[in-house]
Amino acid sequence: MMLDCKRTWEAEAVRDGRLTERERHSFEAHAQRCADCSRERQRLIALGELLRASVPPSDEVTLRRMRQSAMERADAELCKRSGPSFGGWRLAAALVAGAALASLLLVFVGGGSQRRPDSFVHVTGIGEGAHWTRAQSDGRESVHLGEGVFRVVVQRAEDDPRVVVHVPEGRIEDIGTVFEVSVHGGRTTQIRVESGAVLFHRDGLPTLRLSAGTVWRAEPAPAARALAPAAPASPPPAADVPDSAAAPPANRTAAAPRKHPNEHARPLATQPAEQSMPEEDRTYLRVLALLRDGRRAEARLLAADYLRQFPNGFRRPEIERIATLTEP
Amino acid sequence: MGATVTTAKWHALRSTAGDGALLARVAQGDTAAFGALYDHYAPGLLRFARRLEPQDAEDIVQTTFLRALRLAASFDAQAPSARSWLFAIAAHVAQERKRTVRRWTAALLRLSEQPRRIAPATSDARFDLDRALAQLSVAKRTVLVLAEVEGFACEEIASMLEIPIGTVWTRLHHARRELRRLHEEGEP
Repeated sequence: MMLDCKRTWEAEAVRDGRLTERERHSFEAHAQRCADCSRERQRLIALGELLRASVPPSDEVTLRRMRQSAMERADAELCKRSGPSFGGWRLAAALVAGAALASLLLVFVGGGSQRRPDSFVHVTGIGEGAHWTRAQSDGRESVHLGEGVFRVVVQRAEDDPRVVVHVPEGRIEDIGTVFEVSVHGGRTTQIRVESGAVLFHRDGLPTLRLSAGTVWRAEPAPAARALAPAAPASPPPAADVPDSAAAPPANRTAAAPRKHPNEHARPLATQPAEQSMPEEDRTYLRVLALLRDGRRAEARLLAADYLRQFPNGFRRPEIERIATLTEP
Repeated sequence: MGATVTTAKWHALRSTAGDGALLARVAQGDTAAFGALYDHYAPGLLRFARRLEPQDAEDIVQTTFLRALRLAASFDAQAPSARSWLFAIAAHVAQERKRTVRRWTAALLRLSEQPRRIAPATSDARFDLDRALAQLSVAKRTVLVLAEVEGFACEEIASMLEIPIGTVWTRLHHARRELRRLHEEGEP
């Protein structure tokens, strides 16, 4: 249907909230006199009414069945979390209620505990003004953080798409975790990892691996540093700054040599930012592969190399044992 | 297991505790609070899910609530309503479903475990509109249903789907145009 008036597009714009109040009043006044615009507005209203009227009614039987299933899954989930002291007694009470129902619950709960975890990525903005967008392409889920504080929960299986969170300086690659990112004034100011681990790839800087309990904080911006009073001498910076009592593995010492002493996280050896596996993990896996192939002498040499490159390495105790292996 | 929460009881629960407080209780393991939330939002979510993926609507709703249970601790305890949050989860679940082959396995399991359900009779007009709607992409269908059926503002939809608002407007425009052409003119 051809429309002569050049303002018919405004009918949709008004409906979608794209116009200012002044523009909306202007269009409303115009539509009173213009048959094309009035017709377009009516067509949009009719389409919305048709869509709403065509919604199938709720089916009570289906809803009741779904509710029972949902409550069973919720019980199973909560039992998994809290253990026998909480959920187990509720479950036991349900079992006593009837043998047939009890057997159904046993089967269901057993099945539920073996169910493959539901994979998802969930971003929550904390406080007002946080904004972000998401996209999926090339087998990868990408989240672009704007300004604000965000909590990111990722649950994924090994064969699920990689999850990458883009921040101003680079990107944070999730390895299956819960973490919080603060972005202010176009800079990433803090990353706090609650569980799991992430890789923080920064343009032109070494990649950081941040594990559970780690808090990475950026240096204040240069202008802020200039205005701030001279800070007292600080203690030797730790390889990680745990945010809670869950301390990082004990093999990390405070005297680790670091390339970036002002950053409170353990840096990896320099590597191209686009590589997803850190060099430390790669070296460790090569050591294991050599051992599996029976090449113990080579494994010992590579283990010694690992200890030199990564004196604070995550696998240090294991690699130390391999480095001292003798020939059989 | 908890009895179904009546409308009166729901309002009583919510008058002293918005959805944020309810979800805080869910995070603490309160299954009654979970049941109340389910009773209030499940019908609307099922209606929404049926518009997106009719074959997987029930799975989408169940997954949505299970995910909400796991994410309850991250929901703002002061927020009065969890509606847009729950619909956002459902939209993401529907999109994930489309990207995996898991739903085909689940469909086979459903056939073997549950009695066959007979679809309710529909009028010709509704069938034509349903068929036209099904021919839209999931992305367009999602924004159209959220805007025109569920009544969410475009800014809300952008936030829920984590896409720019310009993308929401574009998808709405194309969805309406395609739906009109498919439904009114009967063209593929």
